[in-house]
Amino acid sequence: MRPSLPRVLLVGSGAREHAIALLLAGSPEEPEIAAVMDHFNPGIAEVAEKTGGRVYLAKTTSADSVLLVAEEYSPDLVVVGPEEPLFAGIANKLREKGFTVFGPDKELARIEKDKVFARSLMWRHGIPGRLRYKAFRDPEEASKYARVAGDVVVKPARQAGGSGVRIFAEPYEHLSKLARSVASEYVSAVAEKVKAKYSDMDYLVLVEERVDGVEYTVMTVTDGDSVVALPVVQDHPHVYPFDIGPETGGMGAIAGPCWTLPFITEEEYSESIEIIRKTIDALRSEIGKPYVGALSGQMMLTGFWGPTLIEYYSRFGDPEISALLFLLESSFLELLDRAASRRLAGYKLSIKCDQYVVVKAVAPSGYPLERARARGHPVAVDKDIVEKLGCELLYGGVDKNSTGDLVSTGSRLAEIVCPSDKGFEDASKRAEKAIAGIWLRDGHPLIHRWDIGSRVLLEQRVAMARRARISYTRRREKGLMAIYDWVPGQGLVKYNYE
Amino acid sequence: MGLLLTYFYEIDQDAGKYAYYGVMGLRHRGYRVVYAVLGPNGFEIGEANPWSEWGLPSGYAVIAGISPTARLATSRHNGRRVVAIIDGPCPVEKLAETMAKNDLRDVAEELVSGDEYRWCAAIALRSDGAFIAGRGKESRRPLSIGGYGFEALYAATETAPIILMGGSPRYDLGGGEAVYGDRYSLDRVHVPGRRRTSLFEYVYLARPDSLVDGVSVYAFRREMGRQLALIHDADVDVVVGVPETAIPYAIGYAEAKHVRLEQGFVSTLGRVRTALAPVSLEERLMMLSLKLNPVPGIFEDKSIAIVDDSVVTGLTLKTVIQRLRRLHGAREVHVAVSSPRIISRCRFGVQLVDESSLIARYLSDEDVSRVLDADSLVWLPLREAVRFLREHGVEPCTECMR
Ligand SMILES: Nc1ncnc2c1ncn2[C@@H]1O[C@H](COP(=O)(O)OP(=O)(O)O)[C@@H](O)[C@H]1O
Repeated sequence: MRPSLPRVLLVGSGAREHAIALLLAGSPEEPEIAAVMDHFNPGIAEVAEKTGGRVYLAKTTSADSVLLVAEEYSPDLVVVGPEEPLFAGIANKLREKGFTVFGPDKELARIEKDKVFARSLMWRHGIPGRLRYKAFRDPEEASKYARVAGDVVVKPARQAGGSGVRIFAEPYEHLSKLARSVASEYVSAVAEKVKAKYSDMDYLVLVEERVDGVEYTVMTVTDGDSVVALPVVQDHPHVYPFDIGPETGGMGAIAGPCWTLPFITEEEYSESIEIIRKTIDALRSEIGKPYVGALSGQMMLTGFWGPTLIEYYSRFGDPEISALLFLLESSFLELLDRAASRRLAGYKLSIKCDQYVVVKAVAPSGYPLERARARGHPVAVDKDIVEKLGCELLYGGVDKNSTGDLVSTGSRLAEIVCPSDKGFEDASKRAEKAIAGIWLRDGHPLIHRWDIGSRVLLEQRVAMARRARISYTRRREKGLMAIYDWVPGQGLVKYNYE
Repeated sequence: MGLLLTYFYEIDQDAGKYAYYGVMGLRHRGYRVVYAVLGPNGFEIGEANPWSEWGLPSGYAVIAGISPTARLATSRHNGRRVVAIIDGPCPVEKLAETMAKNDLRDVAEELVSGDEYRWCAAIALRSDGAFIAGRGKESRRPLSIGGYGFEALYAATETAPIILMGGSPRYDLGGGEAVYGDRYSLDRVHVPGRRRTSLFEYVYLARPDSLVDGVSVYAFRREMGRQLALIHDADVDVVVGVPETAIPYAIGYAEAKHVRLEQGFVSTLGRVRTALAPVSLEERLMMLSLKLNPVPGIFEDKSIAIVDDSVVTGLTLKTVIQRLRRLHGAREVHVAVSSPRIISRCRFGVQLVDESSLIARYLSDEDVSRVLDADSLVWLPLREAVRFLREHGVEPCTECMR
């Protein structure tokens, strides 16, 4: 490390950045942390104040605004949290100006932004864990395809903050006509939306095969050559308990004990890391630049291929990164700094192996279907309640209104992170209590998932993973790494996954 | 004798099309379905015979119940309308009224803790999109919750309907437990209660491809077949199940006795549960030969074990046994009934048998055997069934059985 106290500039204002700020602040190098954010996050502001840094309010997707801040603050390291600033080329701009930046250039962040690019890259380079897909430029054509394809997932070709993905499951043939007619309507609507909103996209919509299995996230830190994997974390995308209801940005997470979760084996974890490593190499060879930053794989353990890639993040996952608060032993600053300055080789991450961590997101009722209902409610916090339970509160979708009061932005409001050395259930119970530490002054209800960390849920994951394992192990043992379809009149079609 | 909730989170989705398959997955429980479909323009309420050509109107949420034990009531208050369906002898009108007037949480609390609802399961929908699904604190009726992708919440008396609607079962409500919510929330109330699920569900009502309170109905039946064989002091060459719903028991029976299992009969009617059909005794007997036509050749000069999954009057069995003796050359016919003796009508309405027609209520085993002209007779020992379910966390209600 450099001799004087290191100065870090953090870009972003969500719960993920609050977690990153705390992780950085906990590093033995005692960095000074400043932040540039779109909306006022009191948690990040508190970290900045405590470490002697400061906060700036600016549009973080504007490279010029962020550059101005960076030039004023003159940090040793810039850490870009969210994806949109990366897509907007913040990292490129700052690197050009000589800053040390953690976060990929926009050509590389495309791996998250452009889902067609991500899928096609996997096929071009034979990266394992890939899915069949078809991409469309024409809404009409997409609609026609969805009508005949069946059992698909429809995704906007452009990553749009966890929205727009819809699954048209046809677990049973009797539902197929129904599912397909809805899918074909939906796919053209999505295509039109992307067309209207984004001018920078080659394709509009992606239709990919639907798979079943247990989801988990593997986050890595890389300097483009070396890859350091973080422990496996599981996110919970459904808004309501028992994995019911609309998709969200993630209603909570579990992690621990140690590197993987009870339902993912060490080998599956290694294979997942391998998928990310190969992706980093593939990006290097196609784009001609090293990927510097976090690259995460949202994975699913499927019966076809075992670890299968559902989506890349060109950043840390939210709420996944929050779990790290109680797992990390190494210096987070050293990790990010060595990646950003391309000195990651030989780095060894250490974590605590006796901790179970549960993260629960809290959102104002109305999220995610009608954010207007969830927006503008005055927020109250009693941090004591949370801290007495040994937990941490992370601010997410909050902002200061014109009178200086904290109000909800309509997104996930906050996260409660609780560790336990006894197990997930214990951590979960504490999180349930700690949630009393945040409420809305006008009485508007808050929602969260009481089931995260419960035994019932864990048992379901274990059972699902076991079934997937039986199936993919058989495929591998028999060397069946291709899928064959026979279409009358068209003949045999082979999809090679080798 | 069955409830269903299909709730889509996007109001432009057509829950009716999915609920149709859910009801199909419950129709083995009866011949009439009452339903209410909620769409942007309010409720449509109706009734149908799911064994005929039928369909549901469009809407984003559906509740349905299999009558006659499931009853529907509506209520209106300050422009809010509620439709409730209760399965069992509990005041459905009152539930509808309470839900029209009160906060959802209070309604849920009343449902799970109120004495008047203690035996029942209930599902209700309100015109503002609020729903509730719960079990009274000693509910004899199971209720499972499931999800369909990011699209819908499902609830049903057993899990097969959830799966037929494309969903995954996720949680089995306990006694004194309810979930309630709307598009913006999903909450739960739970008071100390017990899974007093009726043994009749496992023995007879549920489909073998369902889980009831998390217990595989098929596994239960196969194991009970094994238990029957172990206590049945009879030398047999061949095992058959009558009707085909008894086959899981017959499989267990044959396995434990190390004898061959045969398909003894072919039905011309499909999987109708004749014991539940709203028909007279005469009509029932007339259906019998259509339902149970023996396969020629497999009974000749053999000692047969017939595994039957329900004996009410014994007339069905008697007729079958006679036929096997007169026309098919059976040497001996031993009877293993895969349910305990049913001796009374269920006061919770899980079964609606006419007490005067219950042979086990009036006759000793010896006399039943004489009436049937069977060479031996055993009933499923109640304690084995109870033991099995207790091990799985269910404390079954066996009030009508012995
Ligand atoms: N091919 C697929 N098969 C099954 N489920 C999928 C598939 N792709 C995505 N999903 C589900 O949809 C969710 C969101 O998809 P994802 O690609 O991560 O989009 P985003 O995060 O941009 O909304 C995933 O968490 C997963 O649950």
